[in-house]
Amino acid sequence: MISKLLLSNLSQMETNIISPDNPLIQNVPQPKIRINSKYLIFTSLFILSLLLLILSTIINNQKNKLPPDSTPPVTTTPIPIITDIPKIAIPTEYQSIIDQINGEIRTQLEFNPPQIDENIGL
Amino acid sequence: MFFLIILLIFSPHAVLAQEPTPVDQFTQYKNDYTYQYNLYQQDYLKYLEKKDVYTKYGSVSTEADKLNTAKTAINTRNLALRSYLQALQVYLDKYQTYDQINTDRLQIEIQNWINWFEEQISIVPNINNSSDLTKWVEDFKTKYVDIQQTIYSALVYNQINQKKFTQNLLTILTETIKQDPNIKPENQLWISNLTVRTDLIDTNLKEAAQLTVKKPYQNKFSNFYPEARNLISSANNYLRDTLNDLKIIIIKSFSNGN
Repeated sequence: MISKLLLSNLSQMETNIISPDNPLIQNVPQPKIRINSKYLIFTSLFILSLLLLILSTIINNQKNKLPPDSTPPVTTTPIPIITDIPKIAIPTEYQSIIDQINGEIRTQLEFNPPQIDENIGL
Repeated sequence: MFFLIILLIFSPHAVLAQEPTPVDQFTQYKNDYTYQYNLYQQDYLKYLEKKDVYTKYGSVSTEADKLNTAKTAINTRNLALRSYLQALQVYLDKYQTYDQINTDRLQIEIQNWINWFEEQISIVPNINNSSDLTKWVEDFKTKYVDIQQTIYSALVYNQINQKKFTQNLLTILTETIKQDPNIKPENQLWISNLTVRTDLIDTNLKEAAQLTVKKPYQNKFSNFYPEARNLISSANNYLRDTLNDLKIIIIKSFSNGN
């Protein structure tokens, strides 16, 4: 008896819920969203520029992480600095006059006259 | 401190240090010459332009334009040549003692041409017609043969004097080596052979000097300068060889502790 009663109640409840009068299942009027085209362009450009900025930052970071020179590191031993260079033995008393003579031999005395037109006025 | 700096700047030594040396004077004249020569080139182009216009139209006004631009170009050319000669005159000072007579003679000749150009600088602007200008140009062309003779002679003598100066330094070096007890006897003999090369240097320099007395042919300047330069260059090669030989003698004598 109780079960019959329960079943009938349940069936009544179902009927009430499905009913079009039920405000819960009535179509709620949705607010109409109007997308402004200017706003859309601006937003998309802003996002694009942000993306580009992030991308460039990442690339720069990657570049900075690279070694400054891609050439392999020098593994050979450094050239030893020779402190005692075997000089050609010219005594100092001769060196100054030899330098002076050398300078004079290399001197080119050139002071050519101007190239002119002698016939101006003819 | 500030007072000390001011005192140093205006001290007599600082003033003395600013006195122009011959080299400075040459640089000044050379700069002036470069400036005047640039002006001449500009005026010359203007003259050529007006000359073309006159050749095309042959009118009185275009003839007057041609005359005026010609006078301007001639005047700046005279200024440029005067500046060049002033610089050249000072240029000979450095090595003049090695041939004082010829250097003095050339410097006097240069001075005469400087004076002549100074006269012309005041004469040319007063020329009023084409026939007078033509007469002046013909006279200039005759004189310019002699001017070139003086210029190139001065250039040749300046180089000869410089080589003589170098030769003199080599003689000093040779004499010093001769008196050095460290020089081996066999090297002393080698030194005596250097006199042969000295003779060759003298011959080349004399021949170069002789070229400067070459007279103009048919009132045209015969350019002896390239030939003279070749002879001077040969002399320079002998000077270089002599120096190298002397260096070898010194090195051989001193490098092995001899």
